[in-house]
Amino acid sequence: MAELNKEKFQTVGKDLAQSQSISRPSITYWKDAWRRLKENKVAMVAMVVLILLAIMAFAGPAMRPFDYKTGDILDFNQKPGSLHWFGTDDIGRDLWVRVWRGARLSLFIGLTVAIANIVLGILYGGVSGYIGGRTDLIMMRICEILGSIPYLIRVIMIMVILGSGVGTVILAMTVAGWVGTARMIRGQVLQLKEMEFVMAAKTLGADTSRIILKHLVPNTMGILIVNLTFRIPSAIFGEAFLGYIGMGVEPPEPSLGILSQKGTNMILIEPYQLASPAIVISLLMLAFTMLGEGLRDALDPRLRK
Amino acid sequence: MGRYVLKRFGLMIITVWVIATLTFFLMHAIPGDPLSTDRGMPPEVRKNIEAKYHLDKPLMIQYAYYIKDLLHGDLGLSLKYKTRTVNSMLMNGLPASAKVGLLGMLIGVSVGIFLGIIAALNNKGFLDYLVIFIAILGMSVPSFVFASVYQYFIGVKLLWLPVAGWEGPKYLILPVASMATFYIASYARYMKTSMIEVMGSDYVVTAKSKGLSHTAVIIKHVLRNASVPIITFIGPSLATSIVGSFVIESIFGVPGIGKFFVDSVKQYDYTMILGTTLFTSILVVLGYFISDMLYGVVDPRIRLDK
Repeated sequence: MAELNKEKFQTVGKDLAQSQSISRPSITYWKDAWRRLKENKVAMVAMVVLILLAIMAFAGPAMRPFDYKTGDILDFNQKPGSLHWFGTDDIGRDLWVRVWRGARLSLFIGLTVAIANIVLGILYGGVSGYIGGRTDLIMMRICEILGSIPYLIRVIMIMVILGSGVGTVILAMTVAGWVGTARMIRGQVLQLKEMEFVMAAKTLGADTSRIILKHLVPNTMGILIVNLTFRIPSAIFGEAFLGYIGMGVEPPEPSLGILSQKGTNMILIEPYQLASPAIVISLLMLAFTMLGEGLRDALDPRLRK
Repeated sequence: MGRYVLKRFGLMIITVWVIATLTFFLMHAIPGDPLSTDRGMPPEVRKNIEAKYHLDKPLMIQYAYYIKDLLHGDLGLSLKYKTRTVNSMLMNGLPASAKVGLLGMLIGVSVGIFLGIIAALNNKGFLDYLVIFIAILGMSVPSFVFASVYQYFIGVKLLWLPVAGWEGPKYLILPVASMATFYIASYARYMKTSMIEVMGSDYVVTAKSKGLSHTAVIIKHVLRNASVPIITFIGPSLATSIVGSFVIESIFGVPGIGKFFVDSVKQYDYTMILGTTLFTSILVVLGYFISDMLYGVVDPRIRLDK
């Protein structure tokens, strides 16, 4: 091995000006996340599919001159064709109009329930985590007990009392569904409360509202958005399930669950009646799930390299 | 360990009590009473029936009777079929539900775990993407959709298997397959995620660097540790699968609890709905309890932190 001596080394020197300069443009968390999401082809496809589905859900029913609740009884069980693009059901209602109207309802229910769940979850979990101590213990025990009743059973119990309808479906799923979100938020708050940057902010004299708004909320936003995108498909599924077992929204309002249920009854004779609602609901659920996965990868700071 | 078991057990009892109490008061919050559907009932008969079922007593007394009945395992009577009890209906439905549910779950869990292992060993490879695609498809497509797809293509188009009914082993295949699809999807994902996590951990790196063969590392270190979280999922899955699937049973005409639950929903048979709800919840809570216990046995770390 060659001998090492002083002559072989030389000082590189340090350039104070250079060490202070920023070599790359600084990008915000959201820009970074968006860049990462754009690279994820699956998530982008899911997003495009979702946008298309959303456009169809709003524009679809208006594209055909048919009504969703009354059909031409002479036109019953028509196979898909140039007049009825998705065919007609057993009393002659146009399925194109009904399926897209159902999709719109699913999107509406999915979004409302997801947002309501998150708001309740933030309130409950935030209070529980922020106050801590005995309050936290009791509030979390309540969560644990409620959480051990299966979600759909919680929904059904509430639906039994409230009766069917769009409002009651939303209410039942909101009341039944916040537990998971509350637990998650509480975990986040507990974790963030002890973080160095919160301590630093406190030391610098920031008041509670500033800490919550400037430090705690932005740091949970990513996880909240991911949670939102996963809550939406589960709410859409919940509604479809309720509609399917006959507890969902009131007829003649079409929902994807009710349409699928009617389709299943006709599967031996007119399978196309199941095909359209089933494909639309599957696409909706798939697209939301894929987008959610993409968002989780893009927003979750733990995956950063 | 003893304290841990006791604590979990206590929590389970409280949970069941809360569910039972909620169920009871929910049942009484429903407008109308169980007898109001019979218009032509003479008042004397009505009085007798009310006395028989303690409906003439104050709510709290009724609640006491209800809890007493529950402790004896009695879930009450059907509203629609005056001669049937919720218990007898549940017991009639249980064998069919359990057969389809347990078979579907066992097959689904084994296939799912197997696929998850393959995906993890081929991380970022073609097989991995294929498995994950199947898993996402299976998890996000509602069960009634793939049950109907199986029914249509295998039952109606190919005529290989009966479309619906309950007469022999042949009738089991389609509902079991539909049931298994969901479990395959979810367990493939759980297993893959769990494997990947373990494969990145320090002790696996150590095992590799001390010269263990790839197979030995996978079998001795990765698989054993990766199956720990899977156990927590199996308990609740077991419990829910015994009760059967509401949707799959109605589609294939399986005479199980799920189908009969859907029927009672359609007939507004409240006592049946709530009785079944209670039964299912108790099973699920029990499933969670068992899986917590198993978890404690398999992974001693869980017991250490309080």
